[in-house]
Amino acid sequence: MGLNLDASPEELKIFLEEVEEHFQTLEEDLIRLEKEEEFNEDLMQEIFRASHTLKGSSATIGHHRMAKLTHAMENVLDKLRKKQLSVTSNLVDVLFECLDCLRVLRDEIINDEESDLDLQEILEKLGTVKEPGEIPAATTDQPAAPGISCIWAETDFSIELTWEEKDTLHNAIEQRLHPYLVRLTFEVEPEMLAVRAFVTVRAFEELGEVVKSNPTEEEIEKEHVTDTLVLLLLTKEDEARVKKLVGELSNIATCQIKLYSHDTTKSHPESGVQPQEEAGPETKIKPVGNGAKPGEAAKNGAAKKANRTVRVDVELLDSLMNLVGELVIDRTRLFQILGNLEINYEMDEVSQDLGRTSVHIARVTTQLQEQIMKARMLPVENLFNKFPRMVRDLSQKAGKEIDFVMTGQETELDRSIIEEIGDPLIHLLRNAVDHGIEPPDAREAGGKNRIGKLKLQASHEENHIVITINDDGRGIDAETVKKSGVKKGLITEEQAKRLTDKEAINLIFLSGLSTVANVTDVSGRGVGMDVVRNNIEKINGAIEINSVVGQGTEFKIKLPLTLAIIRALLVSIEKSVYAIPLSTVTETIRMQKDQIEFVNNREVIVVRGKVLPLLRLKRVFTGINFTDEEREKLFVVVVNLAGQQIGFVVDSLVGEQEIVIKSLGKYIGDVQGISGATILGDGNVALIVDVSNLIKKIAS
Amino acid sequence: MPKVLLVDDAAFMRMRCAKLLTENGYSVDEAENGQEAIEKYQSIKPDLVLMDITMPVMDGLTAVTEIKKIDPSAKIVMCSALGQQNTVMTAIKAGAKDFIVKPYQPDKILTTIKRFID
Repeated sequence: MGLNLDASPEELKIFLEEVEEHFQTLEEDLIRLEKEEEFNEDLMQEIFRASHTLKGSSATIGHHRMAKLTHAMENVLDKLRKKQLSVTSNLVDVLFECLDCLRVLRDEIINDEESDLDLQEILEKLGTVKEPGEIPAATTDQPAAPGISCIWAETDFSIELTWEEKDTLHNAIEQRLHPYLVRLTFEVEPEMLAVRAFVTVRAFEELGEVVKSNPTEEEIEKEHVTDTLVLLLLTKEDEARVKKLVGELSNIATCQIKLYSHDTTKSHPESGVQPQEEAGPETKIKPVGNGAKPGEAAKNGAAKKANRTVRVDVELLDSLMNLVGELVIDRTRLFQILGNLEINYEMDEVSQDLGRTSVHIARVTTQLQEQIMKARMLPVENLFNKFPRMVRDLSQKAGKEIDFVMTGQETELDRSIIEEIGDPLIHLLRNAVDHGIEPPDAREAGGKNRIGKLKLQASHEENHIVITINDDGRGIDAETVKKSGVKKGLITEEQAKRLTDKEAINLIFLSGLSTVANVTDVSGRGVGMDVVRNNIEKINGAIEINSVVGQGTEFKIKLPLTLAIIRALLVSIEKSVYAIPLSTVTETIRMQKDQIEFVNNREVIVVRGKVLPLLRLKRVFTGINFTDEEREKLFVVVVNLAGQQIGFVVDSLVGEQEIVIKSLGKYIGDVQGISGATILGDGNVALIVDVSNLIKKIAS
Repeated sequence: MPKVLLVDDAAFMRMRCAKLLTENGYSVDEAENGQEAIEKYQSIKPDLVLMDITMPVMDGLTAVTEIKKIDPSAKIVMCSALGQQNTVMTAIKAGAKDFIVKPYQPDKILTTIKRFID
């Protein structure tokens, strides 16, 4: 039997995620609450909040049993919070039992099938949680329903005024204010009758002055209320306006209005206003211990159904990844040892055995690595889903018409990367809406479709995930960027002249550069693109711009599949091994020393007609300048990041290998040009070259 | 398009409410707690605020008081659960205009909001 919940599958997904979080909170905090000797108010508040939110959400999707149980729980928690109850292990037991029941109810939603869990027992337990000195449960939010015999009867009603009030009234009438006497009855059992009455009086006060009400405001505050409210309103508004207000108010069952006169029996006009129908009290949460079917005890029902998924702490995933990293290192080492064994010893049976086992372990390690990486993957959908709304809102604000298309939402990425990539993407989308795509009129004038196109794509490319943001807007004008760069003092005029268009466009990644004349509240403050690039590079990603003036701009973000393990090119410098992330390497070149040329005192080589600046890693990392006895042949590793290419001069190339990234540790801290370290197959440590840092260094 | 600022710590409730409101021609911004609500109130200047009460960081009641200090004409409707009568009453006295009781009934939200935004 289905549950007939009032929620879309997408809403249910979020609901379930949140429910899970709250369960987690409840579980952890209840344990702590019991453990801690002193009563921890913050903790209590957190527990209360979790239960409270569960109540609200479950009632909203229409899971009445869950709402009922959480409501009963909340009553108990509220007493705990107000110290009307104290934390006993008995009480915590009951609360844990609630949690078990809630999990069964949650499973009902997952399976879309009602379980045979009976709430009667647990509700009774919650209802009888008491201890000496406890104040009996107040039932303030369940006011008794007074019978409204005849809502349309023209009953006579009035209000007693003091002399002073009568005086006010006379003055008011002389000022041509209308004195209306209004009699309202509220629906049977409205939620929070007293507050409703209070709000109603306040609402009338917006039209004029409420000279008197019965019950008075003070009485209402003390919750001395019934279903009837009579008030005298002095207003310059006419009767229709008053009636309109009544129609807009909530929970009003009937209303009669007449002009006040000293002799109220001769009243005129008299009218009734029928307010809109409101959903009745059947949607209300019923009080504890009511209406549950008799049946099995909660405990039996709580026997969990086999669930296809388990929740795993992210930290556990991180540590698993770390452990696999260690295995990967050992796999490499094992092969190296095996190699030595083969060279140094004849392959007798024992070594052959070891060889076979090593191969097997290597294979399993690879599979394990893949599986754990998969476990950390989430579809980018979760992140992308909020973008259509955002683009819509932004384009409306900017007065633009935009057709926003997303593809590849199912593409999976490591969850830590998803967390990091959200902000940069938001920024790029905002830029596209605000600066990229022109206003409809300008587009039409330029011969384009009024509706701008904005595309967000995610896809898998080799060992990377590529996210592109594509607009068909005005594009980035290299000249404008150059001018802005010169004006802001980021480059000299001479430098500007030498820049290619692509290099010029890349200037937008420098901090402090904005090409927009007038800053809007959306973007263009000149901060941002540098942050975008930094964020992306922080996770070993790269961003590239392609832009054609008048046709549009494309941002291409290349991201690694995981943060922990990367493929790297190992190179040697002064007998030490360094690792260069393979994602940045475009090629390696072997060259003669005399091929080096000098431009502005800087070493460059010409590769296929293009000038490539060189950076000698030896000088960077060891401080040793190249010497005369340097070999005639040099190795150059060409790296490319965000469209900028440079060549690293290294002593020799060692090979290509999967490496596990380890941080340098706090006591070493940040080292220029080094982003981390890794352990190699032979047990030695290799430093990982921070390519983006070095490219920036050479650029400045 | 009238702007509504939706303040609730439960993403589910926000999502649901936002859907209802956008479908009915409101532009919706969201905040997760009272603190964020105050910040967003100043930057967005919404026509109306729907304010949950029980939230981490800063609760709805405090947020109402603070927003009223910034803008005495702010229109705030409290979103409460059953059993929070006293808090709602305090919020109304602090300047909130009305209240809605969870679970939300779509019609009720819309009629309540309409009164203040017309």
